[in-house]
Amino acid sequence: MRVSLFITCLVDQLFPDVGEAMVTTLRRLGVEVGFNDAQTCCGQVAFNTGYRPEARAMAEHFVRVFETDPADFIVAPSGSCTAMARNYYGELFHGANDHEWRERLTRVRSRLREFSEFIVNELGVEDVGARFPARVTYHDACHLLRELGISDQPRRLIRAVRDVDFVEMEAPDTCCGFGGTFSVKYGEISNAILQEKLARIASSGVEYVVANDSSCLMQIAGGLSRAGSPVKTMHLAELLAKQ
Amino acid sequence: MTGSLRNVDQNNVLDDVRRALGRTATLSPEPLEPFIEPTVKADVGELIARFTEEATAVRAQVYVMSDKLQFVADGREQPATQPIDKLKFVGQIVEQIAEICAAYKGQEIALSGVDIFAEMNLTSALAAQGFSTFVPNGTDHEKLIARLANCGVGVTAADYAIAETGTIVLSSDEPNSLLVSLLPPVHIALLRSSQIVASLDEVISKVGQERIGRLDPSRSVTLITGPSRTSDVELVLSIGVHGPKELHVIILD
Amino acid sequence: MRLPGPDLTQRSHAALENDVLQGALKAATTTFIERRREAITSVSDWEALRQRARQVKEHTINNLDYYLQQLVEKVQAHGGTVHWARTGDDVSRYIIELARARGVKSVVKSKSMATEEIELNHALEAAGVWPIETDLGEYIIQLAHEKPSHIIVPAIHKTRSQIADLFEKELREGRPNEVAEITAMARKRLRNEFLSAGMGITGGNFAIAESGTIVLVENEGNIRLSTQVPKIHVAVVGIEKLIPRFEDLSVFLRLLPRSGTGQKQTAYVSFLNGPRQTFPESGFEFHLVLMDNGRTRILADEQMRESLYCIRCGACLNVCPVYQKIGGQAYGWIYPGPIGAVISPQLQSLKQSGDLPFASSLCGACRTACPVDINLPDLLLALRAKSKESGAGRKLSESAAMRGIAFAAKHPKLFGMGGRLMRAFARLLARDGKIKSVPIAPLSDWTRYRDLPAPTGRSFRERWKKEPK
Repeated sequence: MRVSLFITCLVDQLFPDVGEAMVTTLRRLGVEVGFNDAQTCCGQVAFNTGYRPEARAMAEHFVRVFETDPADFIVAPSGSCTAMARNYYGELFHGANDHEWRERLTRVRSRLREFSEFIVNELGVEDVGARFPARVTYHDACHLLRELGISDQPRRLIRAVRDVDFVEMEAPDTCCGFGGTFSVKYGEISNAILQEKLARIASSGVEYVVANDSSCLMQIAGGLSRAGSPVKTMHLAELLAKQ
Repeated sequence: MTGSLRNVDQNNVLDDVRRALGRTATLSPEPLEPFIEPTVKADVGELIARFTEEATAVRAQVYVMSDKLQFVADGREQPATQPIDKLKFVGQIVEQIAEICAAYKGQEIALSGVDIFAEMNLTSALAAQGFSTFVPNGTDHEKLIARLANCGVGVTAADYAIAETGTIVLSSDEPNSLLVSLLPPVHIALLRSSQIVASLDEVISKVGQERIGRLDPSRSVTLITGPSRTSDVELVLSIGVHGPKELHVIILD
Repeated sequence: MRLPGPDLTQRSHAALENDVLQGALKAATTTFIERRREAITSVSDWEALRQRARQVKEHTINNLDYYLQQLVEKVQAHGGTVHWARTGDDVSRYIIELARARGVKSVVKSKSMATEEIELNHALEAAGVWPIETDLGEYIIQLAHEKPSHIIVPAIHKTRSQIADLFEKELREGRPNEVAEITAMARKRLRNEFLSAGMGITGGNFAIAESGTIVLVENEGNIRLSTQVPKIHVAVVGIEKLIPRFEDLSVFLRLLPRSGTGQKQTAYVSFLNGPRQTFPESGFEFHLVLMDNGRTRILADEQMRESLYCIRCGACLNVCPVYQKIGGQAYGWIYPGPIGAVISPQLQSLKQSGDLPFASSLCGACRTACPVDINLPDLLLALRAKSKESGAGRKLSESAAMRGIAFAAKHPKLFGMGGRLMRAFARLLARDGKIKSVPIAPLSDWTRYRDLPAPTGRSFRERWKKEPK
């Protein structure tokens, strides 16, 4: 099995440990891992802010980079960026003359998987051989949950980690308030939503919050840090890499 | 409508709609395939029990009067030792109505649903117990409204009932039943057990068949589920805001 | 309470600072979410119902001209009068002229988003016709001279004691202490209004084309009184409210109460077929005003068309994390929450309310809750694009940045370099592994509330290059 990593901007620039943890975990499962360094950004930030021509340019680049990649699957550590390419690129290639682009997109899209989805659905593995003695909870990233319908896979992976004490927080599926540029355009509202999430995290009594999206984790960690909370955030890949 | 009222060009909006849909003439669409929901098969006893449960949950009071059973209330059944006669049965119903009306003895009781009440001699039976009744008729709407607004109780005969939601269905086929069930603070609806259907779909299809294509379709229908209610203040349930504060359903089995 | 401020940022700030409002919003949205969750379990296949409702709406909207014609013919056959209104002013003018022609001094109104939308009350008052809102929540709002903050519970932002104060001051019949006393006081006062009004004005939840039936869904009984007591009933109905057949109704009557209030059925559902009595001497009249007011503009845009499927249940408000925090009045117009952010800019203009689609985290909870499966996040995204395309929401710095990112994204070396520069800059601001303050917008808006992580030395691509694994 050969996998090509789709490393999102945030992971590339701010959380490279998440990418490395993916590599560690996937290799432990016997997967051959590659990284095509011509990849850049999926364009979600431009698309979600309303800049479609710019998003389209980035989508074209994404398709060009990955269509020739011989890997069996393209795997990303983010539900949001996966959903961008899988669910929204179609809207960028909807023109009458975009027939060829749509075909090229299909070839990329059919191989694109989110990290937990890939391990559980494609490898058929739940126990990745990780061990982590701590009390953790899981936050459902919105796009992972509602755009890709993934909620069970991450939980199964977490439960299979040795020595982990997994607890559900109240309403794990409510938004953390990030929302891309929303988090700065309407910072005060974004923060008010975040505070609700932080209160639920606090009352769950955990040491770690795990999620599959570095954007949510950056928002949650930013709030925890500002509040001086001892609770830490962790990407699912980082948890699964622990031994 | 009188010609004195200003009229915007009748076809303007329709033209705009056609233009928006990218056509110049209206096309006749293929109707959608029917949507068949799984039907619930239930016998009368089950329907009565479900209706009672649902209606009670929304604070209606349900009484089941049976000529086969003694007195049955809130779904609790007490088998009769022997069938009771018709006269005794009607007597029980009148007794029940009188009991509900007792608090409003000084006020009139409005009756709509003449056939069933005539059958039961309801007017004279209630009169015998000291109640004055009133069957709304006549054409003076204002007078009728004013009189109904001062009635203590309105008694109607329902067309149907829906078991799954504890709903009764009234239509304006019974003269003024919609007002009788609305203006007085207490509403008593009489219902034959054979009129209870399992689901909303059945009532919709019955009502639909009755309304469409009939000569005088200009009749209204109201579905009533429990007494009037609001949660507009701090989401606290408050019963009897504009419509009746009490809804009593007497099922005749 | 009124939320001041010309834009959403200021209004939402006021909302977030208001503890009473915060408490009310939390109570209301949590209760409604819980009730809805409970109510939909009483339906065997909720998803099938949703998809059917969507299919019916899609079919109706795509053939709206046909069904409108059918509806109009049927209503007229029942002795009703139909008036087409292109704009809100057309609606108001028609009703005012009708009221004048019939010598109507006061009208009883039941809650209707359509008449809120066109500010009918203002027009009536200016013309000397006194409108009385009869839904308890709307009555409270009218007495307080405010705007509703929720589609289903208009006065949700007001506490019992605020309402008691208001009633004491405005009605002068003492102070009602309990909710039941508030209700009783309103009942008494409004009952007199019903009995003396010359006209009742309602909206319409559904209009059935094949039978000419207007369907009204309610709990209080004020709609029944508005339509049955005054001799003249005017229903103001948006042209999108149609459904083809009677049999199509049951799906919607299952979805609407469960989604809106979490009830299996509301206390009352009225099917109205024209005037109560059709012979002209009876004096009963039924007028159906079919209102466009921007709807054909939405209809003309194939992508945006599904905004017209909305049945105004309010479910998307309750589950929306943004609405939960800022409430309805912050949206600045009568349609709040995700559906408000979608239809307000279309019914008004991108210039007027084009900021609303950006005030969403795009979490998608609204779509999941929508009983007709309107793809609200997608519509919000489309409106964001329209806002930028039209220039209404374009900011120079932002569009320059987006163009820059897009250019760099096509040139991986440049992209990597840009990242390196930004991280170098960020490291200058970092203390103890975190950044507490960035002096430049938009990141300053992040650090006002949250910390940023200090970047590590190398990006993933740099690490990979250094030691390919």
